[in-house]
Amino acid sequence: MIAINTVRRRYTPPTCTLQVQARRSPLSRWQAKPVVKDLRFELRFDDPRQLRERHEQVAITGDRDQLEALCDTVATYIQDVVLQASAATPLQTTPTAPRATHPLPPSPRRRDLDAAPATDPVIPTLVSRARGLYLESQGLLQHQLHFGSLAPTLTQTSVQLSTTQLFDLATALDEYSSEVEALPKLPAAAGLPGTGWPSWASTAASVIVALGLTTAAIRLSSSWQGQTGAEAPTISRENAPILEGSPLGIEAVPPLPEAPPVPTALLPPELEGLEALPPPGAVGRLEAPLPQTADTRYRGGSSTTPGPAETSTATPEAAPDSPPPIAGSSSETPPGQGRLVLPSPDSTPSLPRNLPPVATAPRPAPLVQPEAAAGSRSPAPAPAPPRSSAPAPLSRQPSPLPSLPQVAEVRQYFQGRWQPSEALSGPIEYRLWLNRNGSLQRIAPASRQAATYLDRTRMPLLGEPFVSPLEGSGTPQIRLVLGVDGSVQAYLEALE
Amino acid sequence: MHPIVQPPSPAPPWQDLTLPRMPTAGQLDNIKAHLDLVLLAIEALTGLGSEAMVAAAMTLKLEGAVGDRIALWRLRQSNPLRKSSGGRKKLDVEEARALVLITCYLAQKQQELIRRAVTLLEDMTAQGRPPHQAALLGDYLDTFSNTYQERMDASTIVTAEMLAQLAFKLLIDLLFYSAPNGHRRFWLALLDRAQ
Repeated sequence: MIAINTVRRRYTPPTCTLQVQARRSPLSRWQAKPVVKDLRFELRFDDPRQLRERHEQVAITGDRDQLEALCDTVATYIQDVVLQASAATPLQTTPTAPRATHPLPPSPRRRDLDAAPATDPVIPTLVSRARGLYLESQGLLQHQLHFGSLAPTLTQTSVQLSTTQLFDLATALDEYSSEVEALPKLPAAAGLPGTGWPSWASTAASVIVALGLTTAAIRLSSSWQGQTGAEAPTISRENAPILEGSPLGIEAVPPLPEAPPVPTALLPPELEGLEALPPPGAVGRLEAPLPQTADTRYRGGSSTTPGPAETSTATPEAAPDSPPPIAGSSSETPPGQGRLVLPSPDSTPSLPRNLPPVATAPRPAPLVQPEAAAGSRSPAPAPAPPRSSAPAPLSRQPSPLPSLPQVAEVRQYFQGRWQPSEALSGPIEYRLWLNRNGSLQRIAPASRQAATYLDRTRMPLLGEPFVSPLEGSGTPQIRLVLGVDGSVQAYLEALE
Repeated sequence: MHPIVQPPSPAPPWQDLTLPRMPTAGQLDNIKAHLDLVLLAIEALTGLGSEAMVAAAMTLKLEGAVGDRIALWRLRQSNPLRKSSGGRKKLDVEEARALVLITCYLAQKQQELIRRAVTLLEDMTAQGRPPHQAALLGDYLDTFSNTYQERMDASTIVTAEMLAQLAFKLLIDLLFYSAPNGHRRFWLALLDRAQ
């Protein structure tokens, strides 16, 4: 009989199994992720290859603090040791016999046969150090995990892990971190749990809850479209009882390995909604990190380059708790952050009390700026989009097109430079969009051959002026034709 | 084997890829070189080329940074280690982030292959056999070495062994970058290396 307020998770990458059991805290009502307490975990290393050889299975158990320490240790080790190792690091140093654990890390010592010195064991936090929990590198392909206080027996004090086993362990731990918000054993655990939540989150708690549940509902419905089974062979859930009869069951479900089925549908409102994200307090955190194509607009519209806005953002260790992984698995987590906020207005009309109504205020600027942004890359974080072409371009000039001196200049530029190769089977054409400063905003080859030969055309770089600056308004769209005989033609196709 | 393949969300988590301060020119050079090499490793292992990268950019809504093959080519040409062909020398932060996201997206999609390669590498090494005797690894090494030598400036001497070590190191990195939070790992690794 599984109590309705018990949370169980089981993470099963190929070579280990992490099981977590905890009691659900009443605070879960206010969170997208289950908030739990009295957590216990069991980690089994069950690589079939090792089991065959050693006939023993290594398993460790512990509480929340120990699990968190394990997460920290593994994440830091991967980041600081494995990924930072030089290519000259040997794949495998001399295998060593399992040794008794030391409460403090041993000093670095040389291995017998290798030129590269052994790396220092990684002790990421004081907690881990005190518990004697650490990872030691034995080359790029082998790592020794010392259990410290987690050691199951007096003799089983460490385990050797291959890189794939380490990867699996990290994957299981990351899944756990992203899924479950575990309360520390503190007396006054009122309000939101401490780890990983930005300071402003508490002021937007109700919005977060609504968004999180909504997003979870979206993911739940998408999961029911049959993606889960095929894509989540390694993650299983023992939470059926939790699903039934409890609205909180929703967030227990979100199958991690699935993506929202209609990304395109979600994004357009997101792009528009971004422009007007409200309260300065929240926006101050959210601005810079918000999505990709919008980034340049955002920088233009508001304060900054990514740097300053991010100073309060997490270190790597805190990150597992707040921002979602690229798969968008723990979508419920960052609902307060811009990225996930935006799909919601579509489905819950009540939400946009904090967000601008997406349907209204279609701004001309967003429609044009992605184009403009694509071109002006080379001035590295462009502070303010000075694109005076932005407001104007929507009014198409019906006819006739004015003659621009830049067209002739484009032709002259290429006339002296274009040297066709013998393999060219026909003329190649490009559409060129010009910036106001006489540089290229965008290039579109008209054919595959044109794309292939682009690098032989001596095409100027985007953003670097090669014709005179434009006067007047509009973005010229010029068609450039480079002939097999070396001829060059240029026409003004449009002025937008 | 059950790879944990997680399709990326359509909106890349930019907020994960923060920048404490703007990299210096020298640091940016390191970043560009490292990015190019990791992409080279993926290409060599999976056969994916610029088309796949641009398609990934589309899927991830990164057209602003990497709109098409031309843009991608130019970004990669910014690697100072490349044979100079008059390509652009600049790569700004947004483009670097875009390349990170694209790389990790591709690594996720190819996670099974990457994992198989790393497992093979582990097995061969544990048995004391040269890794290239495994077909998958041998092909990877050949392609990596050839492509590296084709593209990179020959002024730095690299031996076959150095290339092999580099190829395997990158392979292992790719495994970690294929995880759901791989983009964050990659970004941090880039910044750390740049120091």
